[in-house]
Amino acid sequence: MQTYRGRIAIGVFVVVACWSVAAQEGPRKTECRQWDEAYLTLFETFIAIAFASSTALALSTGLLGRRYWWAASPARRTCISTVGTFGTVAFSLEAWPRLIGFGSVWFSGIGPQYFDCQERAFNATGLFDGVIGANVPALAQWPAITAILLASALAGGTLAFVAGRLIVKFSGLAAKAKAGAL
Amino acid sequence: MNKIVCLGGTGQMLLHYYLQLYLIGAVETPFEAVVIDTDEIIPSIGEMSAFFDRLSSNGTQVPSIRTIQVGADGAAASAYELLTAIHREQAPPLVPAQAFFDTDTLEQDLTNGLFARPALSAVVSFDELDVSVITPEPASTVVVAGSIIGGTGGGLIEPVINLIHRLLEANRITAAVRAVLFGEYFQPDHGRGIDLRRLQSNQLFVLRTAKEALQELHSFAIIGGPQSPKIANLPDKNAPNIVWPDDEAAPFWQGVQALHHLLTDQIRPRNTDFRRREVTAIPNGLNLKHCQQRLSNALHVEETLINREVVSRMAAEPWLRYIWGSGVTDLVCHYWRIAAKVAGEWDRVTDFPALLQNALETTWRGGGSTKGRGLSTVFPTVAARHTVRPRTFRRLQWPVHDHGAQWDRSLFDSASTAAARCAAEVSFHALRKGN
Repeated sequence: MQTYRGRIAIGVFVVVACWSVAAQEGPRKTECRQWDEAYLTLFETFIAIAFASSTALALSTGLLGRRYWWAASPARRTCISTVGTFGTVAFSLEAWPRLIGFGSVWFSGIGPQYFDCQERAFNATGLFDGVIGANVPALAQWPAITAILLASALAGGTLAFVAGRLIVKFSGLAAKAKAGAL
Repeated sequence: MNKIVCLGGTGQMLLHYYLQLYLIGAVETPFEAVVIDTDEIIPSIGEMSAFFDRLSSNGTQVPSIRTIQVGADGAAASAYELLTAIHREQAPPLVPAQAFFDTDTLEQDLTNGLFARPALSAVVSFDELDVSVITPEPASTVVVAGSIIGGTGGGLIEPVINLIHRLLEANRITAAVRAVLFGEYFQPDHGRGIDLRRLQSNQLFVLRTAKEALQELHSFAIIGGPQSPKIANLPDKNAPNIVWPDDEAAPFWQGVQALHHLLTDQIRPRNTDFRRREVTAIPNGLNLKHCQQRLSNALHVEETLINREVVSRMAAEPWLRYIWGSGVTDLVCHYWRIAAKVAGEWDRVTDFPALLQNALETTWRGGGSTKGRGLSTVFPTVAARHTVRPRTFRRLQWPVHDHGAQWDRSLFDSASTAAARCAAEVSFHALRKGN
């Protein structure tokens, strides 16, 4: 009986030891580079999404203006749309992997071990083809990514606000008053 | 247009409530109101009168309020001075007026009413009474309202009704003359030198003489009396935000109901028997709870208009028609064009929405260039809160101004005047239709 138990314990030890050695090896450089490229692609996509969403939301939330006071104010709905869009994309690109992990939904092309790549040198491209943080994995550049996403959302909001002002100039209250006869 | 002739402080208070009901849309038809009093006109009526004046010049059909302060000769502070034309301190020991009035009555200060002394109404001169103001329109109704226990009402009701009757005969006009008479309806304040016995004797005097003196009345209602509920503390009529009665049976609410019924009733025949002309069963045409709800809604809409800066929002809105509709925007545009015409060019009135938003605030809360204390002080303070959405303003029925219509340039001396008149019109419709 004791011999049987001893054999099981030795077997478990061997399996754990092998797994530990395999884990210590971490992802290969090619995998890191592949995942980093995938993350960069997502980052660039999210920049576009942040810009387009904040523009579209700032303009289209006016449709809720009959019902909600925040939506009946162009400045307020632009602010809310911009902040909301930034919060959503920043969460989706940066907080999600750290809270839920890689390997699912839009991160399905990135392995869960991508976090380990942050400590390895694998000739990372960097943001915008190396303009920002060359040789630094994209995941490690979260402050720059956050700032760029914010800038993108702000640019979208500003575009919507300017578009709104142009609409007001040509068909707003003042234009309507000028166009009419007394 | 039907006419209300309000006598004395009670008549003024009744009009104070009735005008509010008109402003919140509970009373639909406009009317002419004439206030006759020896006392000052109460501030809330003055406030509403100024507001209606600004509106009527825009062409909006609104009540008109004429105020006549009788016997208020600036030089005469008391009946003694009025009758003798001599200052009390320089007067001889005996004057003929002492044959008719005792010393207390002669000493009575007339600048604040007749203090439950109907006899003093005899010294009140009707000379300054503009008869055209109280002459009824053909086939209309005139309701005379006042208390028969007070000095001004008790002393003036019969002369005024007789004067109206003479005017009807002289002008060959047929009109129904009705009356809302307040009997004992409040507990007298001994501090003001008015006791219950005096009020009761005034009431007895008017009622005893009513059959002869008020023979021309088509119908009348008596509010109050020995068995009726009484107001323990009369509201200070000069105070802001005077509260509404909290009970349908409250004398002022009963008076408002009677006034509304007598003013709008078209079917009641004139009874030959004077006693049967008294309307004892007054229909509940103005339900208190319903009116309180209307008041709450109207005040919330008006306050939202100001607190949410609706006009400023409209000026910056790209989806103007979608959110705010064409009604209110067309109205604002109409006045903006007037402001531009008055100012000479558009560049001088680019801030018109800000001017209008400011004018809305001063119309409601007073201050600014206006001397009044604001229309909000006319209404009681409402504690209940409910949400007013932007679409409320889209759904309101706003007045339409014909683009080709003539406008009276003399009424607009600056862009600020245009903004003030626009603010009055916007506020008026927000209050009346915001339910």
